[in-house]
Amino acid sequence: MSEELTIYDQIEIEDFTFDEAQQLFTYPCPCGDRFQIGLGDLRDGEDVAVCPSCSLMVQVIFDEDDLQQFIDMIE
Amino acid sequence: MYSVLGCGSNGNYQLGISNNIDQYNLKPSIFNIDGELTTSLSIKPKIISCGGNHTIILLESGELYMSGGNDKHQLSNDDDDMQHYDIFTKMNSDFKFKNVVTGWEFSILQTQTNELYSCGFGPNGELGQGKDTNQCNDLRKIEFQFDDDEGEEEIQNMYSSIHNTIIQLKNGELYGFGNNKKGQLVNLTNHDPSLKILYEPTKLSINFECDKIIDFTLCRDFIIYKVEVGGLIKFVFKGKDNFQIQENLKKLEVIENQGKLYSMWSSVHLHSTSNEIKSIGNNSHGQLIPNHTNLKISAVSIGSEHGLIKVDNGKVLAWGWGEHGNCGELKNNSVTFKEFNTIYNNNNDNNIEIIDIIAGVATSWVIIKKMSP
Repeated sequence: MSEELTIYDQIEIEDFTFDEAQQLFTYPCPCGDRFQIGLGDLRDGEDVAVCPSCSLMVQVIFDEDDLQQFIDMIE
Repeated sequence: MYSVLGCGSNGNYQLGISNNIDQYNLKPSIFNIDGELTTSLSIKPKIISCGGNHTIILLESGELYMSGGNDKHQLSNDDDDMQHYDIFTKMNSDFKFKNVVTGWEFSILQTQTNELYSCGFGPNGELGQGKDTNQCNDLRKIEFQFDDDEGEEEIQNMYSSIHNTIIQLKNGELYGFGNNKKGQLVNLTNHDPSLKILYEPTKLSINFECDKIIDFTLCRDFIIYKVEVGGLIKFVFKGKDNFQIQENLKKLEVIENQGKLYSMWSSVHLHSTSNEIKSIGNNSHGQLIPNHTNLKISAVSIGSEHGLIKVDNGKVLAWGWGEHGNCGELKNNSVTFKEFNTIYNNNNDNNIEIIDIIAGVATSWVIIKKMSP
């Protein structure tokens, strides 16, 4: 797909669902699947969540401080 | 006889065509009517409501038929451990229904006796069942008290986004529940996280002095109200504004022929009485409507990130984000439809009437009536 490398929207981390077992954040995609990004990716400074079923992407809005509660959950 | 035609995202059998392959052309939905499979209905479909991956069709008889994902019991039927329904199957229920709305993984149903029920998964209060219930495997009644004694018979309509619902009463009052993380339902106060989720139907105030609320629409993270103040039209915006929507709505207030509001997840569309559509908001994938000055629009429906219009009484055109076939076959390998694409054309056949058009979560639907020759 050619021109669709644009970020579709920006979503705050509080809106994502966090799965402790997979250490994965997910959020509804308008295609019916879910945008996803790993906690490890966010800790590494990545902020683009992708959808496994389509080309759409969202930027995750968060501060580093926001991650601590999730790190605590898995440790 | 009536037929329901659908195309688009189909990974969870939400089109009800017995396979889970995305469809780039309209295909007739298959119904199991008393054990017989058919694509023709003798009873008119009244509502098609599209959740994240599930579809519920309400017939005028009050019966519900459903297809798609049921992994969270968003299609109810507790005794039935189906992960999905691959064709439209009748809901096991003694009730007759008059209205249905659906969100990401939940459904809200209004019976003909004016009771409200919910089912499915609602981690953000979507089920309206209180703080302790985020999962209902079977239909469960939503208990709520109105301010007056008129009771539930006063429900006029229901509206939902993917994660919240508003109930409109005949007296104009609004009750909402579900996700309020952006203050879209009720204002958030600083440092009080308890209001971020409304677990039960809660009386809404738009905190704006007005004579009456004329119209409103629920987007994913914001709600827009159209109100009348001393004979003038104003728009009230509540929630998160990533796309300068509030500012642009102000420009629309001066326009005459105000019409009906519709919403995608991240844009809003005003269909004026002079048959023009003004779009405001996210245009990352052609969501704002293309030029349509020469078209005679007779119906509008807006989906997650695409839209449909019915024109010339016999054609359905799509625009916006169409990656899964919801705007028809892709053109030039692009998932964006910046120009209209015709997804249905009755070719001036007077025996085929378009009854309704519905845009869902990357799905598109056309209900047609075939006259007997």
